Amino acid sequence: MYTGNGIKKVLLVSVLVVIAAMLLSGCSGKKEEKSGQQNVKNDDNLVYLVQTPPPNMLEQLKAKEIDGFIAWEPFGTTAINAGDGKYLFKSPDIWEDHPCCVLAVSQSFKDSKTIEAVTWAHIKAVRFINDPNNKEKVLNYAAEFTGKNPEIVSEALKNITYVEYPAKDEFKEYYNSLEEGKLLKKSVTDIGFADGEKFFDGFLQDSVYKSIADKLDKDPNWKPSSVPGNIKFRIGYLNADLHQLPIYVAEKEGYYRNVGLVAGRTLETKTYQNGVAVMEAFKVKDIDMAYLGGAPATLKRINDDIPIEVVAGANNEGSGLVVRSDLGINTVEDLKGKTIAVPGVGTVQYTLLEKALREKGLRPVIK
Amino acid sequence: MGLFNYTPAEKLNGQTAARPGKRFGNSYFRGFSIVSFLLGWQLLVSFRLLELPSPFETAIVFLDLVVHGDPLYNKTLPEIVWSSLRIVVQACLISILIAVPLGVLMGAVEWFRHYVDAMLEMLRPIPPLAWIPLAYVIFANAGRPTEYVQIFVVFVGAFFPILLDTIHGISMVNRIHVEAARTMGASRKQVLTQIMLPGSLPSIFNGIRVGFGVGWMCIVAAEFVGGKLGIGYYIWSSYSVGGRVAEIISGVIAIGLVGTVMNRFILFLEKRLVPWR
Amino acid sequence: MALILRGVTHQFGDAKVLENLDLQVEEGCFCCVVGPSGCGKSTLLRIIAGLYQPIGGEVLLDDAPPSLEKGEIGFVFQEDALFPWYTVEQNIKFGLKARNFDKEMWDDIIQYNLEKVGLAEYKRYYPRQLSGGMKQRVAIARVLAYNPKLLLMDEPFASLDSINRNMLQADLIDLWSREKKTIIFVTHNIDEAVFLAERVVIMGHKPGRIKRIVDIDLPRPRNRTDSNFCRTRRSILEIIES
Repeated sequence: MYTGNGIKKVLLVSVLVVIAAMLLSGCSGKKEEKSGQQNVKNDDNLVYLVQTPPPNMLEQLKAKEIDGFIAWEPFGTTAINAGDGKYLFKSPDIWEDHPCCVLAVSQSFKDSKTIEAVTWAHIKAVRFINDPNNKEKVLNYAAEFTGKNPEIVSEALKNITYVEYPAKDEFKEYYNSLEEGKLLKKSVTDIGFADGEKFFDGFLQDSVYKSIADKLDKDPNWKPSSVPGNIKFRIGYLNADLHQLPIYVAEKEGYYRNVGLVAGRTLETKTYQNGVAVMEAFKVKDIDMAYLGGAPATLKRINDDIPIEVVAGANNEGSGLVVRSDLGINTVEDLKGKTIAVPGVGTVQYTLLEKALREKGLRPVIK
Repeated sequence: MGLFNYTPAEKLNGQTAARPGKRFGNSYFRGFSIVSFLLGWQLLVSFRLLELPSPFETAIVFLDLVVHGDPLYNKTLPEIVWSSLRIVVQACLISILIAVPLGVLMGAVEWFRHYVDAMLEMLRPIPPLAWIPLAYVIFANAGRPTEYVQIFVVFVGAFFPILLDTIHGISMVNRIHVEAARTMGASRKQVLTQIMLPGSLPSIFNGIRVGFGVGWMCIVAAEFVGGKLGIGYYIWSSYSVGGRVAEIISGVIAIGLVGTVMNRFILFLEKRLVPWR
Repeated sequence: MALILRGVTHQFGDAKVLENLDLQVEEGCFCCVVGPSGCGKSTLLRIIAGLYQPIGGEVLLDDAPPSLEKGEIGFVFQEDALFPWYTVEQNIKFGLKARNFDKEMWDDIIQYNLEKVGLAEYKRYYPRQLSGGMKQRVAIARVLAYNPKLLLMDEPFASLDSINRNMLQADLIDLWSREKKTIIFVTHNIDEAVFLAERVVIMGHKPGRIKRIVDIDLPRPRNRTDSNFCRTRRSILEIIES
C-alpha cells in the first residue's frame, strides 16, 4: 500500500504480460502436443512440416525437436551414423531417377568452346566416379571434398547416382508438381515459350552433351581443343555438397587442366551456400556456369526468368527421409501427426516427401 | 511520434511546450511523406527502372495475404507474423527481466559495474546473428533448440539497449533525491528500489522501447535457423521460390507495421506507468 | 547541549573545503549560517547530517556521532527534493516508513503535518502539480512528520520569489516558536538570516572557516524596516566583506 502507484503498476503489468506471454506461447511442450492433437481431430491425416537448413536438422533431430527430416546426402547418413535415426525411405523408393543436381550455363555466356571443354571435363569426371576400379580414389576425393569421415561418405555415396544427363521425363514430373503446388508464379508462356515441351527443349540443352558423348564412345581418349589462355572462366558450386563431387574430381584428375582450364589463371571457382544464391549469381552475371540443384534452377528459371540452360546432369536421387528410431515409425503411414523438417518449399526433397505422403492419403501442412 | 522521439532529457522535465497549430503542420507533412513515397515507388515501376510490382498490385497481394493467406503455406499473414511476434515478446521479456536488475545493480554498485563491464564490453560488439552456431551448441540438449536459438538471438539484440539505458537512468538519478531518502533513514534497499528504480524508470522505458525495436529487427536473422514459419523465414522462403516480389514486399511491410505498433504501444504503456512525468 | 562540532576538516580531492571548524548549537536554537558562495556551507550541513564523513574532527549530536539510520535529522533541500513519482501523501509516508512508524498512525500524522503547512487538501497531488512554494512546504512537512531532533535547511527558500519567501519565513518562525526545534539554516541572504536567526554563524572561504558568531536578540516579530534590524544587517555584511 505504501509503494507508489507507478511502481506497483509497473510490477503488476509486467507480471500480467509475462503470464500472458507464457500462456500464448504454450510454454510447456505438452500443451503444444495437445493443440496439435486437436488439429488432428479435424483432419487426422496431417503431417507437419518445418523448413530448416539441413545442418540444423541434425541438431533438431538429436534434440527430438523434430521427428524426422528429408535432406540430401551426406546429412541422412550423418544422422544415422550418430545414432539419432534411421532411413524410412531413400529417394529411389519413392521416385526413381528423380533429378537432383545439374550443370547449368548462363544464356549470356556464348563461348561454345569453353562450354564444350567444361562439359567434357564433367563427363570424364562422372565416368571416373562411376568406374568401379576407382572406388578407393573416389572415396578419398569425396572425404576431402566434404570434410566428413570416410565411413559416412562411403555410406552416403551408395545412395547417390552420378549421371551424365538428367532424365527429361522426370524433370517434367517435377515441373508438374511445382505447378500443382502453386509454386510457379509465371507460366512458361510468360517467359517466351509456346508450351511446356518447347520450354524443356530449351531448358534441358543436351546437344553439347550428346556430341561429346558420341565422340567419347568412339574414342575414350578424345579431348576437345584447349581454351585460349587469355580467358577468365567462372564456375560456381555448392560448398561441400557431395552431389557436386564431379567438379572436385575434374580438378583433381586433371581434366580441367587437359583443356587449358587452370585454376587461378583461366579458371575461377566460386562457392555458394545454396542454389538460390547460385541463381542470383547467374542473374547478376557473376558466374558463367555452375553446379546447382535442379529445383532452384527450375523455380528461378521460370519465376524470376533468369536465363540459364542445363548442359549436363550431376546426379539423380541421393536424398532420403530419416526418422527417429525410438518412435516406431516403420511405414509412411506412421508419419501421421509427426513433424518433419524439409530444406524448403519447392525443393526436390519437399516434392519427394509430398509425393510419398499423398500416395498414402496423408496431407503435409507447414507448421 | 516516430523514429526521432528518442525522449531527450529536456522533454522529461516538461520543458518543451507544444506550440498551438504546430500539430496540424506536422501531421500534414507526415501524410505528405507517405504519399510521396508511394508516388516515387509508382514512378520507379512506371518507368521500368526497377522490376517491382506497383503499390496498388502490392496492396492487393497484401490484403489477400491478410484475409486468405498464402496458398503455398496455408497460412495468413497475421498467423505468420504472430508466430514471430511470440518469439520476440518472449525474448524481450527475458531481456528485461535480466537487463533491468543487472543495470540497476551496475548503476548503483561501482565495483560490480567494473566487474560485469569487462565481460560485456567484449560481448557487445558481437552481432546477434553470429551467435546462432554457438547457440545451437548451448541449447543442443534443451528439447527445442531451434526455438531457444531464435529466442536467444533476439534476446541478445534486445539486451544491450535495455541494459545501457538502465545504467544511464541510474546514473542520472537526482543526487538530491538519494540524499533526501538517506537523511530520512531509508535503508540501502529502500533507496535502490524506491528512489533509484523509479527515478530511472523513464530511461529504462526508453531502453525497453529501443530493445523491442532491435529485437524485432533480429527476428529475420533469427528465423534463418528454420523451424516454425515466421515472417522472417516467410520472406526468405518466398525469395527462394522466386517470382514472389509482392509477397516479399508484403512481408517487409508487415514487419514495419508491427514494429511501429509495438513502439507506440510501449510509449502508451510508459504514459500510463510513469504518470508523474 | 544539542550539537557539537570539534575541529571539523574536510576536503574534496586536493581542495580544502572546511578547516578546523568548531561550533556548538544548543537545543532549540535557530541558527543561521551565512557566507559567500563556495565557503562550504552546504558541505557543513551534509557533514552534520552524516551524509559525508569529515576527514578530520568530530560531530556529536547529543553526545553521539550523527547516524543516518536513526533518522534524527530532517534535511530540507533547496528545491526538487520531493520524489516526483510519489504524491504529496506518499512522499511523507516514505519517511514514516523508513522510520518504522506505526502504520495506523500514518494517516493522522500526514493530516496533522499537512495542516500545519496549510496543504491538507493537496494530499493526492503529484509534486509537478504544485508551485515552488507549495513544494517547499511539503518538503518541510515531510521532515517534520517523523519528528527529527535537528532540522537542517540548505537554502530552502532561495528559489522562491520574494513574496512567497517572506511568507514561508514567517511561517517557519511561527512553527519554530511553537515546537522549539533546533534548526540550522544555511542561506546567502543576510536579510533572511537576520529575520530568522537567534544566532548567525558567519563563514569565510578558502578554506571554509568560521569568522564570527553573532547573537541576535531583536524582539519578534521582527520588522525588516526597523533601524535595529538594518544596523544588525549592516554589521554582519561588514564582517562578511572584511
